[in-house]
Amino acid sequence: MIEVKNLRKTFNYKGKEIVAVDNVSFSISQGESVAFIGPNGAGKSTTIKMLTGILWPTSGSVSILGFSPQEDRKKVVSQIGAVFGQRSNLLPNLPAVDTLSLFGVMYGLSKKEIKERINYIEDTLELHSFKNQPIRTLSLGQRMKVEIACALIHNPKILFLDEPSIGLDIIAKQILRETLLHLRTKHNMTIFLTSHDVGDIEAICDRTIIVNHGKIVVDEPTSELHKLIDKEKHVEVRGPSLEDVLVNIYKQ
Amino acid sequence: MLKDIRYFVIQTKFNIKNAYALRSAFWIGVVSMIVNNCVFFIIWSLFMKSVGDINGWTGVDVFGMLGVSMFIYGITFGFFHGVVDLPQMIVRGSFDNVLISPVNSFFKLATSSFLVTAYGDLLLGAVVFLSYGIYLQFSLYTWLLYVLAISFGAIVFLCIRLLCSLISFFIYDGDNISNQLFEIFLRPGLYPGAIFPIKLKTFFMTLVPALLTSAIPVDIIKTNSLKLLSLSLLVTSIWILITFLVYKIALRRYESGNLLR
Amino acid sequence: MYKGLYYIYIVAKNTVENKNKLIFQMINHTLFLLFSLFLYKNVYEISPGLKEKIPFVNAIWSMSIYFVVFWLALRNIERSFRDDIKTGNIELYLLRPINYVWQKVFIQIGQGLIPFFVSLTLAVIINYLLVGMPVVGMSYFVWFFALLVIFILSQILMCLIFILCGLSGFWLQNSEPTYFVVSKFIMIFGGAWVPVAFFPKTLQVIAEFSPFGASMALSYAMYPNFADRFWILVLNISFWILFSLFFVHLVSKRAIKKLSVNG
Repeated sequence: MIEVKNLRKTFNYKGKEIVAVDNVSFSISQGESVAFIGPNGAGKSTTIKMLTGILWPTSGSVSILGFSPQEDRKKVVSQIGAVFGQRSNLLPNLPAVDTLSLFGVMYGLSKKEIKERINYIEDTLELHSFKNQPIRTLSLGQRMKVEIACALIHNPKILFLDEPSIGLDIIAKQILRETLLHLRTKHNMTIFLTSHDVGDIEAICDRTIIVNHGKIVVDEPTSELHKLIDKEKHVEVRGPSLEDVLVNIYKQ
Repeated sequence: MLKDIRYFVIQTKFNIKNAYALRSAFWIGVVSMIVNNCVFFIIWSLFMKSVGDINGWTGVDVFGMLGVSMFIYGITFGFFHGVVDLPQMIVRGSFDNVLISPVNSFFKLATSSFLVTAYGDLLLGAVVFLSYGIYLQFSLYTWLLYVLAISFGAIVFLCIRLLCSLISFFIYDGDNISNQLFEIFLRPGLYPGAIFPIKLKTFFMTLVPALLTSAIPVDIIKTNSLKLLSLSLLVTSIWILITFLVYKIALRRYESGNLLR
Repeated sequence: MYKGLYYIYIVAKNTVENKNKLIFQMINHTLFLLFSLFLYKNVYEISPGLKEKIPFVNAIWSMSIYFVVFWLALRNIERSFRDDIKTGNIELYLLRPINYVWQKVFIQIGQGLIPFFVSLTLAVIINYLLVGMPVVGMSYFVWFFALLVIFILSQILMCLIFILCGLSGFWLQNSEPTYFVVSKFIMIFGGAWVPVAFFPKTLQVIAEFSPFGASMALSYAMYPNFADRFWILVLNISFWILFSLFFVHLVSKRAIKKLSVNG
């Protein structure tokens, strides 16, 4: 589904070459859910921008569903969905349905298809209770659900998420994780996620790629990551985490 | 009070220093605003050339008026820009920072944001209104009248801008409304004072005191009228009082809870 | 075509939901129309010779039509580009299956459409009731269609000019100075505060044939000699459209490439 070979991106700043992504290669197959993480400035966002066709690589190649996102931009964007945590696609004064319809039209769906997709997404993401409220009156978690709904309107095969939980409270994060988990398990959707929130990664991703200074330093199943530092075996019995406790209290 | 003024001066100094750190961006902003403002001189000089002198006003007087108007605009937006940002601050909740500050809330608010391009208005306005006085060879007395009239105009301008922003304490989505109201106030001040019939002039000197910030200072020095200056002072005092009262009520409303939404 | 119209419809719907804003904009518009009408009435009384340059009724229609077009606000396309570059939101638009520049055009039209129609209605009513219809040397029926042609062409040109301004932001650190200069030229040559008929003859010709005047040609359509000038205006605007289109095509390709390479 996603094939990345020797991907490299450099920027010029005042005549000096800065390497943002350095010879990165990986492949992701259908239904996989991958976390692409690393410290600030590691090259995560640059990579996701090259995967979605926003940036051109300096060298190397990217193939999304067999197409180059740079050369065949339209073909690729019509098969992927993207959610950027700090940016919004939504029209603030209108209900979610209107923005969803607009995206449907943009992706060339017929009226009937748009209606069907909206109904389907409403059911899948449980938008019913607030679908007719103007976006500006929604909570952050509800807004994020609508952002994801917009990214799903054209039934994409891959969902790219760049720090989707940034600025969300723990309830909203919980909603986001449940939504993504649902898409992964029930719809076999391929998910490519960048996040600084370890909870997101643990909850959603079965594989984790860690980058630093533009290079891949770890590419392992998420469940195996702890082995990288566990020299000795520990048996620990823990109660619920503070986050679990807060979510519980808020929900009550 | 002295402590507050000291704070205001220091904060403004830091605001300018901060903006000037990006030297080229600073000068691009200033120069582009000067170029932008030159258009008003072109438009009204073409107008005066076509219409000829009106009610004793010449093209030079119109230039003087525009200089005054730009200078006052520059003073308000260059030193008190936080007042313009107030509606946004209320929406974002950052007005809390103003209230918890140990200095006078007005001074804190005024210096909480900064607009580089206002220094283009300020610079061009100052050059033009000073050149106007030099060209017409003002006496010391006329200079005094002129400076006082401009000061009153600047105070009124600031009061009106603040009042427009204070709307946000009372109605939802006050940002747009405050800008629209301010535009209504602003526009008459950009027309040559000479073309206003007397009734309209009185209206725009008192109820919507736009001309106090542009044409009236020129009228005052043209007629050397102490009476007109006194009237300006009276109107200014009334607007200060109104602004002060509304500001107090608005602050109490903010403190009294979140009934705004 | 359908995609564009639907885009415009949804954005217009979103804009009009903010009723407070629209109401105050239109109060502002009405007061300003009445104010300039009253002021120019006084100017014409003081200087009766102005009638020779342009009749009072035509001067009022010409200025008010400038401010009606002002509400369509296609010039904001530059600011929109600037904001997108600054905030990085341009990436969101690039991920959609419609060309970025077209999306910006649809959004601007959608945002300005309702204020434009409301302000037009108000201007027509106020001007008709207070000063009457302008003197136009042709039947009002034909005049209406001629206006429509001039309006569409001049707004296409306006759009292209401000797209070019916005695209300059990809090379300059900030496209705002370009915007300031261009919008002010349009203000002068479009007869915003002072009708172009008041200008000296040579400047009138420069104004009319410049791209800035051409993008505001609707205000010239309010002049008594419009019937004689119609085809010249159409040819002039068309020439500038083709000229700008060529540059937009050239520049936008390089701009997107620049963004793709430099981020």
